Amino acid sequence: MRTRALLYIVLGFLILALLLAGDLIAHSYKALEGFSFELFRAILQGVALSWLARGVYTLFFRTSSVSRAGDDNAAILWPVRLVRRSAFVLFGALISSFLPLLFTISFARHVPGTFGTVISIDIIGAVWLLVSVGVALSFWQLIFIRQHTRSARRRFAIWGSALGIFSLFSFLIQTSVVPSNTITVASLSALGLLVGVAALNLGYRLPWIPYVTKTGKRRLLAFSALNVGLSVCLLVGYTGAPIASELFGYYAVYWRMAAGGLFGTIGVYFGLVFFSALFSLSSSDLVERKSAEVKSLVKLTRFSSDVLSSELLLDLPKLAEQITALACEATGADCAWLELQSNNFPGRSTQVEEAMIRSYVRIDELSAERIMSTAEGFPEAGKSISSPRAELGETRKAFLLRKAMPGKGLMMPTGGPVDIAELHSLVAVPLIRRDEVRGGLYVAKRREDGFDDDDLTVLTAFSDVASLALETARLLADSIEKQKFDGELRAARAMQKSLLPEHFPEVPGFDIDAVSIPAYDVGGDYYDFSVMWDGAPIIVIGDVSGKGISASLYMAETKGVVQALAPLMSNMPELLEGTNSALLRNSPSHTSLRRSFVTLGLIAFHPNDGIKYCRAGHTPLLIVRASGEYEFLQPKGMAVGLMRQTLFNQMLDERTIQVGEGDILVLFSDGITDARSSDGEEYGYIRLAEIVAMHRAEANARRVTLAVLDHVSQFTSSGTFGDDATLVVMKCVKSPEKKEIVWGESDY
Amino acid sequence: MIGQQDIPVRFDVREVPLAGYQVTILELAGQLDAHTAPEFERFLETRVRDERKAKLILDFHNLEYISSAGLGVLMGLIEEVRSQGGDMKLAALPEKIFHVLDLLGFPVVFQIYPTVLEAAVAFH
Repeated sequence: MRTRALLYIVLGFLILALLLAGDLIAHSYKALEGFSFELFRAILQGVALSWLARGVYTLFFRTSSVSRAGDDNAAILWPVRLVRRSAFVLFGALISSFLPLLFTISFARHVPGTFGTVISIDIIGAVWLLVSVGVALSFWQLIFIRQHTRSARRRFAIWGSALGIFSLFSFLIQTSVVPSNTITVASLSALGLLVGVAALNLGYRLPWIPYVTKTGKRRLLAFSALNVGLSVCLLVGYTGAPIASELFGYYAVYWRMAAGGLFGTIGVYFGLVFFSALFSLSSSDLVERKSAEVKSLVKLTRFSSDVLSSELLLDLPKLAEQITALACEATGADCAWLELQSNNFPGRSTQVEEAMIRSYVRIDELSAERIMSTAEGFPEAGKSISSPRAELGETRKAFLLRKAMPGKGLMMPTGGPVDIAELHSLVAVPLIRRDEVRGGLYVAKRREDGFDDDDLTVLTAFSDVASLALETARLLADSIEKQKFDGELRAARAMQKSLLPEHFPEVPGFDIDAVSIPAYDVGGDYYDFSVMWDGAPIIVIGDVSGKGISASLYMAETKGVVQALAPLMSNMPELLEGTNSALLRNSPSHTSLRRSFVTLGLIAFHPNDGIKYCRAGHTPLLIVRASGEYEFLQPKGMAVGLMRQTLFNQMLDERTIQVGEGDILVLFSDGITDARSSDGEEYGYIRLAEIVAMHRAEANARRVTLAVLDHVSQFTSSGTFGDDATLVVMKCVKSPEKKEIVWGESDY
Repeated sequence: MIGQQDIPVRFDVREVPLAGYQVTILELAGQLDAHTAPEFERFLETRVRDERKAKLILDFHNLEYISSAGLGVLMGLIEEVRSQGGDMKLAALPEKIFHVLDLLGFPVVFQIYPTVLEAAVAFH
């Protein structure tokens, strides 16, 4: 493509050079050598110029008609650039029209046939022809902007034919083929008029002007005015000046009138461009706005398709930010903000208040809040509207405030990023999900009448997509959170399991077994083992009020306190008093959290004083004798963590138990006795005592434990407990004899 | 204790008037467990906050079950009531429920009466 273009240019210059050579050889320049000679020259020049034009057009003037998405701004400004380029071309042409001045001296002498004269005339003439072709080319492109190519070509052809006939006729007159008289001159003028009409026809439709931006139009005005001026100068320079008449007379007779027609047409065309731009200047705001709206719609549409698959969905606050920024940009607002209620999954209800998602663009939270919650700037304040937020909640429809109270603005100034007293128009759009107004999107402008109904429509459409995206993101966040929570719960469960002792130590004469089954993942029951100051092993059973995680945490705390205090205490009441005091001290001051308490049951195997039971609000101790008789031992005692020290201590009681071989001691939590059958009956104390009595002859404690669990499971038929259930079975396999008791090694 | 069949696990609390006594009697019914306790707590909290020197009598005679969570509600609020100069008395406890409260040592903290009337008289 490029090489062919270059070839054309070279060929064109070759022909012009041949002409120059011929002129030099012929060595004579006389005005008008005769019709056939001029015709021959004209044909040669025509061929040369058409090749040159083709080459130059391919190299410099052809622009792609493919415009890429995104550079629409460039597409709009493109005609302006063409007009500007025409100005440069015309300016260059004007300079070239002064070329003969360089040769004024030789012209003044005007010696026909001399070497210098021939050179100067041929070179200047060739340059002028080239320049004219360049001008025509730059003009050619303008005609086709946003035009139907065929109709533009037709109009160009009509104009070209008119110009051709006009210059041919003048050529005939000049070469005296047609006599120059009144009639022929009049016909020539008529033909000139025809060219003018064809020129008007060329510039009659300028459909690209309205799309040019306001600043573009201003530039257009300047350049087209400049072009008109330049065209007039050229018209005079190329056709009117005496030098021109001489030059064209010698070098290209036919060209003089053609150049006149060309420059005249260009002048007319740019004149039309000038006025057209001038008149559409006033409407350019509207056009620009519409085009901006189209662009913002495109952007919003793209957002909706993009966001639903993007990582933005994993980042709710960022998504809200993007939506706000987009709404602000799309409407050309001065500031925008968004608020969205976002409840987390149940179980995290304490965070509801923090679950508002807010996002602000060029406005601070306080100011936005004031605008949303008051109707200060609304002329209808107090009558039909209480506050923008309430309005959205009640009507569930987007609304537009065209003008805030004159002189007042939407609110009094607070000194935020945008001086909001200056805000005078507002659009508020509800964010609706599942038929519920969950928040709002607001955009505001300083200008009165800053928004119109189209903004309202666009934002409403956008808010649907935005709500969907936000809701999806929220659900995603929730499910991720829940997964995390589940993971933590598993960890808590494992942790709690590890809080229960794996083995009971050897308590001489006793076989001990224990089990604890939480009702949920984690529970509030526990059993433990420790050793007191005097070396007496103690077995602890505990039941924390409530269930689940909070109970399990309290349980862990209780276990820690008991473990820490036991080695320091020599009797159980002391230990329980210390525990109560520690837990009361640690309990939160907030009333609603203080209601946690824990019941504890303790059995101590004192080396010298025998076996003792102490109870802090816990269920009684079940004692099943080897004979099958049973009793429930319930010394006085309040739950730990309920009451202040004096009351607690006052209540506490400790009982010594006489145990013989084959006797079974059972510590249990109310999860066992409160277990219900399908018809609502409670398992109760009696059933527990009887099932233990039935299995009193079992060889070890484990079998008793399993028998009880089996029995309770059968009783409940569902096999599940409604509450944490804990059971510690201690079977006396050998009657303890005080002197013989040697307490085995323990962990302490 | 034999519970009625097919009655959904639920809890209800309502205020019943007692002519001649300036006390607030709240009749509890159903099962006060971990699920229903928060609702009861909110109810009781608003009563205590609204009414300075609240004279509350909780009538337990229709209460089928009370769990540790329910007891926690009572424990959590008794101090607040008393610090405001009021009191909360318990009345007409079913045997089973009294047993639970007794195990935990509640009788030391709360005044418990066999009937609502006796509790109301005790306020005067």
